[in-house]
Amino acid sequence: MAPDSALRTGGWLGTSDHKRIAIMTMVTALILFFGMGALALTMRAQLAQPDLHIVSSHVYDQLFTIHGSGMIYLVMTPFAMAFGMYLVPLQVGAPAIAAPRLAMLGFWLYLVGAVAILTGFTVVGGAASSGWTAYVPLSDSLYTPGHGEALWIFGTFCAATGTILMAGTILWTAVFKRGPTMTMLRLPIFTWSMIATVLMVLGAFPSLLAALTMLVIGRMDPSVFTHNIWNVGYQHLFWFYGHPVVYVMFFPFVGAVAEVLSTFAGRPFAGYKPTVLSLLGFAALSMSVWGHHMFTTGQASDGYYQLTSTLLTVPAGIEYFGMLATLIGARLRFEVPMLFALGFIPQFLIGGLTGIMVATPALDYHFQDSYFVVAHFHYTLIGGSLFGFFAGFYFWFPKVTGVMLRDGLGRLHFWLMVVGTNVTFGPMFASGILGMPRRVSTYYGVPGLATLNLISTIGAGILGLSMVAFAINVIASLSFRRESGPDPWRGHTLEWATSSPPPPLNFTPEWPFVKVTSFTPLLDRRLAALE
Amino acid sequence: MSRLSGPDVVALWGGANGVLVAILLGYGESAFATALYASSAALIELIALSTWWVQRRHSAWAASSPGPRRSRPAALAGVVVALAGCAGVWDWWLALPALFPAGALVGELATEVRRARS
Repeated sequence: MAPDSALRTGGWLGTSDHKRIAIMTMVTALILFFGMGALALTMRAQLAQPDLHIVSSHVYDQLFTIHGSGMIYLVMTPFAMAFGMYLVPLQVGAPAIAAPRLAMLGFWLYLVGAVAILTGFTVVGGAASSGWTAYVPLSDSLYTPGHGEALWIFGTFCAATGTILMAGTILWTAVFKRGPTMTMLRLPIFTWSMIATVLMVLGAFPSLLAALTMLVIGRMDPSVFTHNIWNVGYQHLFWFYGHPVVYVMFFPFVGAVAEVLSTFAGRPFAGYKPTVLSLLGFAALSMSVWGHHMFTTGQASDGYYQLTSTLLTVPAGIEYFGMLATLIGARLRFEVPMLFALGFIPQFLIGGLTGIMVATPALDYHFQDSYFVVAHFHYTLIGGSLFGFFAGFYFWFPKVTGVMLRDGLGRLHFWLMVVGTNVTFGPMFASGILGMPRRVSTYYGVPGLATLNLISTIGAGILGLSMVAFAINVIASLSFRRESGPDPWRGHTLEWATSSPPPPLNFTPEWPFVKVTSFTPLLDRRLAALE
Repeated sequence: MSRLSGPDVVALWGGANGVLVAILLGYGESAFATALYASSAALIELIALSTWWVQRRHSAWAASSPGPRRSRPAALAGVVVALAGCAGVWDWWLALPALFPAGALVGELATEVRRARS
């Protein structure tokens, strides 16, 4: 059977083509992204003014639990894996991903996990309601009876296992399946960011599986969690996963931003080797900072976690220097992907710097569980990860579909998102400092809080509108196609040397593998042609 | 540096975590937390060791792409996991329907092994 027809016999659901597996993961995550966003808008409506009763407190608990866990386990992490599964084989010059059926099993487990978590809304007692951290005793069978929490545990277990499988196949591809002239130090920065990401997944995600197993035992016998080792042990296991996952949701998009910046600056990324080293160092350090989420337990070595958390600024700073040095003096093209990449730079800086604040014990004792923390991590995950995601999405959409997204709608999406992000989350720093606790369905009419919350709710509405513009853009662009050609942006890396969308085995005699002499092989070829 | 291999990267990354574990030990963190981090670093080193071994002994196999195959076993495994999960959440008898896709999965894999041998 010819390879092409063999790939197609399974159609989409039985495919072993990494591109199709990645697209299915991406589409599922995008649908869930809109669903989780709708939950967030409901929560913001509830908090627009003090003492509103749009939803009950119990429903509100379910909303923030499923919004938080959904965005992390079911949206941003799968976005990251989908990017990696689609692009790493192309960028390293491989015809396929390693162990494609394991990758496909990863997708099915993710889908089963998503369905299980959302099924919670249909059972008696509702969905899980103990936050994405599922701390005990909140999550045990005494305080959260019913099947919603059990479904959440099962779903999270499946989604995390699926992510581990996907990560394994990506690492194997990058390590063993590189094209003939593709050495490790000629890998594109995006691929390096994926290597760092999957190493964190393989090192940290098993810890979540262990924590979830503890929860299952605790739900069968809640008395076990009366022992300190179980309570604090659970927190250690959870946060040993819970901090690196933030970087898992962030690193691939740093890689995407790096690719976008260098492409639209028309030059190689500045400081390739220091940036690669900083990505790996950043990832290693990120494994060591989990205890800063536990300062207020009084049972973590504050000095160590503060030290390692503060050290994160060094690799982060190197990456920022690389980005800025790439831009300085270049003839920039302000296409939509570039706008999102530029938006990433200052907004993630806000998230990162406030992260150093909350990783300082003296400040963390004050900010713990306040809206300051909510503002901080939304600046990292929206201002950073999501802007980076959209930079990559607009950049690689023509490669994946062969179709250009609409420029005007893209710009509208960008500007609404910039305004929405800052109007929503900027005031939350102030409301946190004023003492607004997170995870509450209402609040007293303390002067200032009502106004700040109203502004945040208006901002959330603008953010919602930006996503409507994005959805219209995708639907309109796919319905009224404007063909992109193989390389609409004059890209630097191997995926742009093949057709859009790429053929089943990525590189064919018609689209041959390009000889690689650096991490920007297509730019090299273009420059050589000029000489 | 230019001869850096994939397994080297994994091993160096695990080693960097090992250094951070040693510093954590110096700070007198609890045995549980230290053991947790040390086991994660050890897991990464184990992965590095496996990739190094594969590179030394089976590099051609690791780099090969055996050609596209249908991934129906993955879908069947997903169905088995879903039904088994329902049994865990609600009642054991919900695991019984999982026997059908589990049987089909075993059949698919057995056929594949037979084909590979012939």
